Amino acid sequence: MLALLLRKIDKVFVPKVALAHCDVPCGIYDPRPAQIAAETVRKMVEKIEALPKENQTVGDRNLFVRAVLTKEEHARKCKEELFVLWADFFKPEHLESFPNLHETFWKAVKLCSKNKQDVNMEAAEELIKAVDEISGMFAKAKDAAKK
Amino acid sequence: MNAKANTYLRGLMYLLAHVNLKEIPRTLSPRKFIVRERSMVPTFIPGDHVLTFNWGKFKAGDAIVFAQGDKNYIKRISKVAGDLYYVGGDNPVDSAQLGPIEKVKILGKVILKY
Repeated sequence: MLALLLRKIDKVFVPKVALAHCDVPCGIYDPRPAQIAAETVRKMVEKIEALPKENQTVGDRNLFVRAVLTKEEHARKCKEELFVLWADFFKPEHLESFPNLHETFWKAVKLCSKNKQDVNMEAAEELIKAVDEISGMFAKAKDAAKK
Repeated sequence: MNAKANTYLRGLMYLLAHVNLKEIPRTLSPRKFIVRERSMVPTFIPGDHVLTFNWGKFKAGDAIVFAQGDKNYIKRISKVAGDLYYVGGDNPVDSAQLGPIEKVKILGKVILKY
């Protein structure tokens, strides 16, 4: 009840920001880890799909498990890297230059989840495209900040 | 006027004469903040609102908001050494030690997340 009331008050009298920034504000942001993770996801899908469907050897099954694990891990990593860029690097003022920023990120992180759930080359390709698009926005934002 | 009322009146006069009334709301009033960034995850996630008070002592384990430069930060006190407060984040992935912070820089202790 109190929380609800305070939130309503905050809509009129907006509180100041308290940053919980990483304690050594490094300002180091880079979309490349997300790009590499997305590429890895695609590579793992390729490997899984290339495995024989029948008469699998122990080696095939071992590769299957390793590829699934790697796909899972890199889709998670990709999502994490995207969240860092979304939450920490991009600021409200970037919405002016990139009005679809939130939607682009939202779609990209959703694609990370889809690639964890499925073995789907189309989804893997879409993830790479989405991360590349974010990388393009990142580069433009960086350039604009230098000017 | 009886003696008791006279004492209260004197006390009031003393306060009015010696206390900068403009400073009272700044030092005693509760403050509200919106959390941004991730070093206090999972306790405070970006977008959380917090209410702070700066009454009483601050001790290790308290989540505080303090001013540094033109920005405010939310952190947790890890150690107190006299008037110096060592602070850090709750997020082990996105956190390192920072500090120390002088007591005067502390805006308040978080007493409510909403």
